Amino acid sequence: MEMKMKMNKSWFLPFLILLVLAFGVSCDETEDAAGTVLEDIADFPTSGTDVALVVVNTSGDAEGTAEDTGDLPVSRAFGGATKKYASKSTGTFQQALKDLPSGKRVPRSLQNSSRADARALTPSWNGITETYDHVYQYGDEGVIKTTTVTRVWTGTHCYIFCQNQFASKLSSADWKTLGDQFDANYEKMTAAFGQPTDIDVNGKVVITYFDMAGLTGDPAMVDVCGYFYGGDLYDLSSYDMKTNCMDVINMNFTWGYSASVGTYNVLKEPMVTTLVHEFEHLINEGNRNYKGKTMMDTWLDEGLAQAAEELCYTVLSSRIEQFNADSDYPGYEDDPAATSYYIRNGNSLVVWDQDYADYAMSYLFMQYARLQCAGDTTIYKSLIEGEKGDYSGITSIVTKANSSFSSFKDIVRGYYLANYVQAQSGVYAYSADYPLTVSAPTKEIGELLPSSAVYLKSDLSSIEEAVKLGAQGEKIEYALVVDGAVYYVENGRWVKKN
Amino acid sequence: MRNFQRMAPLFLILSAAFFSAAMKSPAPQLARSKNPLMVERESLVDNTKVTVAGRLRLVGSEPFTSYVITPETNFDIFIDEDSVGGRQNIAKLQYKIVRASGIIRVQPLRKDDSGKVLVNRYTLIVNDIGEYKK
Repeated sequence: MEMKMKMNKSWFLPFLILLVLAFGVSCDETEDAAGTVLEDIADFPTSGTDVALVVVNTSGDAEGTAEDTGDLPVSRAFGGATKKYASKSTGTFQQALKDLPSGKRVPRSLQNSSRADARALTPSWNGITETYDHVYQYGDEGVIKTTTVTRVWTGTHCYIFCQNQFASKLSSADWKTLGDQFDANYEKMTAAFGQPTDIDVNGKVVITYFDMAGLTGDPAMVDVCGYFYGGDLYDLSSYDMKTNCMDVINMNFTWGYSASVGTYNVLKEPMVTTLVHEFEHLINEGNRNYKGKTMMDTWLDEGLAQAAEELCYTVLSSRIEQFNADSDYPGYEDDPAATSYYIRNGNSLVVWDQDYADYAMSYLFMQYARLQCAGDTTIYKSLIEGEKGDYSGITSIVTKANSSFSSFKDIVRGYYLANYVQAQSGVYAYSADYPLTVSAPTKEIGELLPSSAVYLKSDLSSIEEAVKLGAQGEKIEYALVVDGAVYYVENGRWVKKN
Repeated sequence: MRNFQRMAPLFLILSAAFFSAAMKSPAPQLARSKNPLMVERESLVDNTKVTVAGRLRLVGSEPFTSYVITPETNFDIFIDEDSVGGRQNIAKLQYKIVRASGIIRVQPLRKDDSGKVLVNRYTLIVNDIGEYKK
């Protein structure tokens, strides 16, 4: 060991001198205003008319902060990307366009209890239950509320219950149709996502419909189609929290009310898609937290839940529209805080803010991952059953299935490029079912959060003049798209990658 | 370019000095058991002071999401959001590696019929939290 060290020392100095000299004569360098040495990127493409620079923060673990993008050219608008808004909203932008209530309904954490002993689970279910008292408020501020529900359908894989006063609002034929549809979807869901828990030992999933807004008095619940609450899988009574102790999906019966005709319809969109969306959450909780594994990142869990919607029904065109419109918080386009949530301004894939951009990006990322794994929907199950509940879980699955990828960097860069390039096949492809468009930033971008990107439409000379190496963050990757050809920077040179 | 060439000798001297110093005194290794990134769930005792580190993740499905710290030993430590004055105060740390200290609560989440604990829930009542500095 000692000998080796001495040898290292003896050649290190000459080697360093040679390295510095070689480096000094081979690079074209400048300095930026901060004194950072900047290098040109060699082998710049010489011709091309349709040119864009894609700048990606390829970090999934975000050890640190947002990363400096380095200097970037000014972008022109992408074709058809500019969107005008018809009206201004009122209130703060945080209140706009939320499709779910905020975290105020999250039950009290366990640590607030003075007692640390929990009993073994004692399900209230006895297998012949026709009615039960459904918990819809779990003990926030000490208040536990229930409503009596009645069984309206027994399927192969489900029991359907409805709040007593609404149970007769739907015909038994409609309840049967709903139950049959869930049973058919159950087979698809368990094949792709895995088995649900059966903590109530009844062999079925309980689906309970009730009037969420009416019972809670919370107007925000009007817009909620349904939810799954993980606490329902546990007996938390010793923590002063009453839960349902069931594998139960909560559905908002009154969401299906049509005021114009005065009828209820639980079979319409998005009620049926929400049902399988929440079923994925049930399976996810049951295979991770319930088993003592780490919980899954929300962006992945919501991506999987939307994958369930697509698996059982169809491509989520509404999410594609939201991605393409990229218009979260309409009416607040002049608010820097609001526009930072735009996909085009670098909204992060992995940092969840609960807005449309997050849902659309997580949905599309999960579909991109599936398509890059030869369309195999069992990647969802692999992800849920895997050891890691974060970006590294999906990384190990995709890198095993597709040799084009060796890291999360490869996957997230491929995803952002596929959003723009829309190739027919390969790493930069989805399929024709996902017609995506990207937009230029609405403001100057100097930093990018982990797993975010910006698209800059420009020309070759402007990009060559602006983009140098040296000032950008460690995880920032530049990609150049010239007439459909993709270039990455490798060892200081542009290298064609398709 | 000219500035860089002028700096080259200084760079060489500093590099050689740094290399020499590195050979003589290797950086001390943090003891594994004391590394907050490597905290083991079995080592956590209910109602004791701890310092942990890991990725601050938002987990679970909407609208019942939670913030957890996941150390490199791959288990979740839930953040008591009241102790940080609400989740909005830690939102900017989402997906970053953080270091946090406080009181740990270790509470059974699931037991079997014999009373044996199957799954514990770990919750940190936070006294201090910030980005992790190595």
